Amino acid sequence: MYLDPAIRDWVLFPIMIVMVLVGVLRHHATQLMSSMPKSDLKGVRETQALMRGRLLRSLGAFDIPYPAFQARKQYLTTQFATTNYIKSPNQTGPPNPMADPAGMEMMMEGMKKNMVMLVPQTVIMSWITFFFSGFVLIKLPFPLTVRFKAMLQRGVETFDMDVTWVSSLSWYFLNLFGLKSIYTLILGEDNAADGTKDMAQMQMNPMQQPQQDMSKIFQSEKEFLDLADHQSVLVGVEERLLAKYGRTIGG
Amino acid sequence: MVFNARTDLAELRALRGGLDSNAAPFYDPAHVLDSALRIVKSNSGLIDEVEKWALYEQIVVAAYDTGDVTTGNSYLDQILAKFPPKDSSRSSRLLGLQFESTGQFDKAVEVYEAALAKDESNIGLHKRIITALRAQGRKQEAIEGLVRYLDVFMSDIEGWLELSSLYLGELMYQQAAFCLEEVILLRPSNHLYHLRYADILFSFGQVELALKHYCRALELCTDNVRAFYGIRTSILALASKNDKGRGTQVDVETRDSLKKLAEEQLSSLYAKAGKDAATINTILKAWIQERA
Repeated sequence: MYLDPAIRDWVLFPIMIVMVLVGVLRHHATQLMSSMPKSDLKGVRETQALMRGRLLRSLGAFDIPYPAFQARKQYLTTQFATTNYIKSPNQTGPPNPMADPAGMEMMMEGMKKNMVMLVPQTVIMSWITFFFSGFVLIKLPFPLTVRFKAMLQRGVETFDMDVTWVSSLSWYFLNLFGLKSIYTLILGEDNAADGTKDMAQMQMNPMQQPQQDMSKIFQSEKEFLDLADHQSVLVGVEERLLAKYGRTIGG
Repeated sequence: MVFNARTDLAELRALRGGLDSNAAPFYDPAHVLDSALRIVKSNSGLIDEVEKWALYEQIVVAAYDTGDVTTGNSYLDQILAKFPPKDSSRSSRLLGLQFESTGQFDKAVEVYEAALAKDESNIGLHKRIITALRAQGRKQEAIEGLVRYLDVFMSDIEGWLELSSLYLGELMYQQAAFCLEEVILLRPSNHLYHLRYADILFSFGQVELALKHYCRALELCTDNVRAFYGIRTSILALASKNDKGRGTQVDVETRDSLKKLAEEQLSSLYAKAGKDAATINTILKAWIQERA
């Protein structure tokens, strides 16, 4: 089968160019719209307290003397049992994003990002189906089964044409997944122009609760701390040091 | 004098990156000022618009550090014109620095607190307030402010080290030791912190524990001269206090071996230093003989 080269000039390249440009536009639009994450002191203190508890349980704690470790362990276990470090102590159960202003902002951010991703995709898809339907555009280099025919040859319903001949909408999908490397080349790493990432994000739970129930976390951290023991690295340090220089005690 | 713009630029970038002082190169304000000014004035294609402003910031800070107030002010005016302080906490910090450089600490603290009201978790602003207090000699308030800051930002090594130096200035050795313990918790494999901790412990009488930490520092860093000195000094201090070493953790034999190790290693290290170290070598020999 032989395709008119005019198809290549007027459909193939324009679709690709349009998608690249729209991706760049999306990237810049996201950058303009994204605001700095606001953190507050109490939130920072909460996370840092948990980190300190974990540090005390880690190997690094073996370098401080036993009384220092004990003092910190006792302090932290008593403090974690109270609500001293918890940001919002009157919360019962998982937080409601409607009530917490930080949660609201995060939801708005997510929605804004989704809009930026969704709108261009829908617009381009409708544009393609309106203008570029009714003919096949390309021949795929890899074979496919017959089941794909209905999806990939929309608008050109023939009975016995090869499934490898596909319509322009499938070229759109190919581009969607394939232009990622071109975006990386133009915009650098970590760009917001890629369509695949947002599809993955939309599949994730949009109502994610980033703030889990803090008191439970502190409770479990306290239990871990209670179990933590201390093997001071200072025990036997003299022998190890002498061995390092090839001597022994009494030598 | 040969200068290479690319290496200078790389150094300046490294200085800008991150708060972890372990990773950044040594900060020499005069050199930073010099190289940054050269790069900025050379108008070559090495830097783009964005980096230019970051370099301006480095110039302002380095200028104030070296006392070159005029250069600092001129570049600061450009920064403030482009990034007004009411919108940017970075500009507020620089504006506050300007007030500090002329000694108007109260106005500086006002600027910092106004900026903090908008962005309360900005570490740089918190730290500037505390350093302003310290520069005015208001040590108690600086200590209190720093304790409150560290209550929130517990993993800030710079903060803990600053607090320990403040405590040492007030001769509060136990509290200074506590701060160093926090630092060791955060960076357990850094021998310098063990050394400092051992020094503090020795200073307020916990000589045995100091000895152990000197040994640990040596374990982490072979042939560390300060640690060798520390070992020998603490062993001699222990010997003068308590003879057989019974009831202590480290008995006499171990101590003797350690002392011998320290002396021999010190002598060999200094001997390797060559002819220039002749004076040091004689002093060292005399010191070793003195209380053998």
